[in-house]
Amino acid sequence: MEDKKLNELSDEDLILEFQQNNNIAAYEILVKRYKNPLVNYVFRFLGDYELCLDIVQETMIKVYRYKDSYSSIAKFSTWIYTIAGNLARTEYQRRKRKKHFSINAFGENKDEDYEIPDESYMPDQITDSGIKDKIIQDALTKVSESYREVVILRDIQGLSYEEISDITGIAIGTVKSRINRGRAQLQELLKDIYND
Amino acid sequence: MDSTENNEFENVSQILRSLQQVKAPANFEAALFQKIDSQEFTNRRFSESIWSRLFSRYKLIPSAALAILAVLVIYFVNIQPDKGENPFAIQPKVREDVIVTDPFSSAGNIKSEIEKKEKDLDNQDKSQTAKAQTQPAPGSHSSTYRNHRVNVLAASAISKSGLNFRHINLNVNEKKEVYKLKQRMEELFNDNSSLK
Repeated sequence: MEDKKLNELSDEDLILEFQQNNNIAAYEILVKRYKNPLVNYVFRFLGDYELCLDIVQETMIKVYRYKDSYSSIAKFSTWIYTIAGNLARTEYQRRKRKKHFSINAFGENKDEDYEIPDESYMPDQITDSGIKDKIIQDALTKVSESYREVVILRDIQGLSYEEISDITGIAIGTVKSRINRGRAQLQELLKDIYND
Repeated sequence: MDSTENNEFENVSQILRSLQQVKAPANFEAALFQKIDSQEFTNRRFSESIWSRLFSRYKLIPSAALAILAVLVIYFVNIQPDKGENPFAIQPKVREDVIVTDPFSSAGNIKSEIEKKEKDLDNQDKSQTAKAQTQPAPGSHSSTYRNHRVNVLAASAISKSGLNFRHINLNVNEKKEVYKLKQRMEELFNDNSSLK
């Protein structure tokens, strides 16, 4: 198949072409289409750019190796997001387990808080969008993992509730409630920079 | 409810939507295909080395040594003589070399029996010789049919039913001696019976 014709194919047709004819060009087009959305999604979830690149590459490799495990019953985007989400969650859990101590426990008095002050920004001095993005990203990483994922998929990736439900494997009602709770947490964390 | 909740958190959604899209680097595909190629090479190497790993000298030598040791142990255990006799290897007990004649038969009867037996054996001999001339029957003595006939003659007066006896090769003088003894025994029994 010519490249022009391949570019016009849908994701499902491309993966089918890759499955049936082992057409690498079809796979390359899929990589091109999904690399940026997946990098954005995984980065917003984990907050580490290098790590997110590894995970997205691992996702693409899994698509390459296990292409035959994709069934056309589901959308290709659901399938690839599921893979990326699973890898991201696994990595997140792994990093969470590595955190063995909390600096709040170091003080003699348990009520004492040894939280390190964040001097990276001052609310009244925010002008750079890059810094603003960083603040939002930092706030996002503080939101609970289960809420964060669905908020990112809904508000940043722009997926539908049904797609999010398929990707995460949870009911649509639960998806909606988690999205709202995630937004609520984020709103609380961003209240200093948010002006009504 | 959904719309009110959305209004409540619309600002949060807007903030999230305003985030700059994080993109993959320019060399993302190149790095990806490099990883795929190297993984394929590793997989091929790994699959080849499975066999070489299984049969590597570092594993084969101890395994072979263990197998040889097991064979040796079994061998030495088997060659030790059994405390108990193998019933299949037991040779039948040999009766003492006593030629027992029927005490109530006369010498004349014994003689006529021998002659009769000799006749029968002659006839038998002729028919067997026709079948197999040189090879003796398996399991028999190495003597020829003629010797066999002699042996049978020597023990012809013995009742063979239920006895476990051994054929004895007698020479001519021994045969005469045996015959004399038989006659003598006959006479003695006759004398005893006449006395009564």
